[in-house]
Amino acid sequence: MQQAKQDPESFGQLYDLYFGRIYAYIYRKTGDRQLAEELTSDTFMKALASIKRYQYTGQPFIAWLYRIGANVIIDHFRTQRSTSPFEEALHLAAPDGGPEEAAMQLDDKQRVARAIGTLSQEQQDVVLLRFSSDLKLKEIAQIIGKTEGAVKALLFRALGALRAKLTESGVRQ
Amino acid sequence: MRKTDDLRELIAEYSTSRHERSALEAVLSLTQQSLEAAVPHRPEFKDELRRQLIAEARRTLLPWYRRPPLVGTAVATVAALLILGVGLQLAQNGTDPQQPANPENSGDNPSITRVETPVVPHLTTFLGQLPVISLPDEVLDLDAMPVGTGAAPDVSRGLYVLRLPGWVDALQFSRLSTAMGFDPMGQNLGDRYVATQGDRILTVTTDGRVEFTDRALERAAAADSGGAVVDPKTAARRFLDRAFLPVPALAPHVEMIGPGTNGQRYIVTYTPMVDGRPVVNGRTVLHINSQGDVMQVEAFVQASPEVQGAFAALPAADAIGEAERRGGARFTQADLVYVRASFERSVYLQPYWRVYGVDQTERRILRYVPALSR
Repeated sequence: MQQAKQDPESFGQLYDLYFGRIYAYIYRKTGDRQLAEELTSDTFMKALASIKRYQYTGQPFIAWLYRIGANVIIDHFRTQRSTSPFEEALHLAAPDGGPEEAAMQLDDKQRVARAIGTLSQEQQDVVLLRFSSDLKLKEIAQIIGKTEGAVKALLFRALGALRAKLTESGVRQ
Repeated sequence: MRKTDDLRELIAEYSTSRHERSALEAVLSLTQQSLEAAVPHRPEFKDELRRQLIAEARRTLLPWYRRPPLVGTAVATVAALLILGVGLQLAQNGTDPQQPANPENSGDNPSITRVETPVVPHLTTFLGQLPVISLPDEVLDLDAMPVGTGAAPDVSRGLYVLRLPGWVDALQFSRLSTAMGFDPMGQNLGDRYVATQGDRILTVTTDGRVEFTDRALERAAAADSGGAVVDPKTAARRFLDRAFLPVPALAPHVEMIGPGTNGQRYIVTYTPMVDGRPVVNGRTVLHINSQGDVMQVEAFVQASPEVQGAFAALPAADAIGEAERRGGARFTQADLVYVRASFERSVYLQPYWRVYGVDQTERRILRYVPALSR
């Protein structure tokens, strides 16, 4: 990390390590590949511009990077005044079982995606950061600027809201 | 231990009933399955972004004498010769390296007489002959993020002029015209090649500027009532890829004009970056109608820059003063860009200050001031 502040190749290695997770987070938030590429590019450029100011104070580098990405997304949507088409961003893994099973799984995942899209921005963030980016609750708290207790409450309420939405839409549970 | 054990504990702690707990655990599993799949990306995007980040990192993280490979060979050679010269001078007579050498002591090294600046004499002559390009003021697009809005860079050690090798010849023109659907044998007009096909015209200048116009589409554009059928960025990218023209930037700027009396069109602009700085008169611009057809293009052929030399530079404060002296606006900050200029069958990138200001109508404007001291 200290090397990355002075050595371009070390910064490049950090990029290689974290590109996938940052891109996935931004793509799932925006639902648009070209926009995700633009905002991913902005995120890493801003990270490079600020790298010399980064100090480890208990917050891991990946959490710092996610926070930059989250701010880039907020700034973008603030200017564009549009909502993110979350459900289009849900990439589907190869389904198991036969065609009927595959179709049902596809349908369930689309409903889950739509349900996540109805959550508040904060709830969407904690859900994406926990499930898609596999961050710990403490790291999520540092990214979104809340206490760990607040993150737990947000996640619990998000799961409850998803349950209500999925029950309405008839998803198999 | 499962990845979601912490969340299951959370659910167990917060749930008010066994029924609620099992229902939320089911939602947890479904959400996990939905979001854990990897998100595919374009490998070429990832590679291109990495390349740009490394170039920018070399410009911002490294001290000037350790700048990137495109700089390395020429500058490292000059630096090595200077260090050798200084060392030899010290070894010979213990002279302070900051003082000019005594010509009587040049002795075995008559070619080394002055060591206080890195400027090589013939390059000073070159700088005097390099054209000074006048660029008009630009109105700053409110949606555009200006590059480098922090403190102006320190230029006390000088700035580089870069050279883009390669002059367009008949063979290069024929490759380009074939790729764009024209006859490979165009007209050679000395400083440019021209090919026509009905209403379509292609012009390529020998210094690498490419201009394409489809006059039929331009005439039809006046009746274009809008409503994009094809994403203009996608249409632009497709055109450049098919024509084997470079895509100079990852994220183009898109401006929609109309619909109005002149119809509707999209203007897609790519600003190329060299060593982290935009080439402001080297932009690739495409005019696209709402059907995704490209009506007009201005682009530049690709070339890898080489260092021509290092030159003394005007500090940012002086550039801001010069911008104010021209009148019409108040200026506050500046960053560095490159400007293309052709000279003796080569294209050069000269550093300019891009100065940010506000005019009398409170519009934000940009004004360009040459950064090299002449």
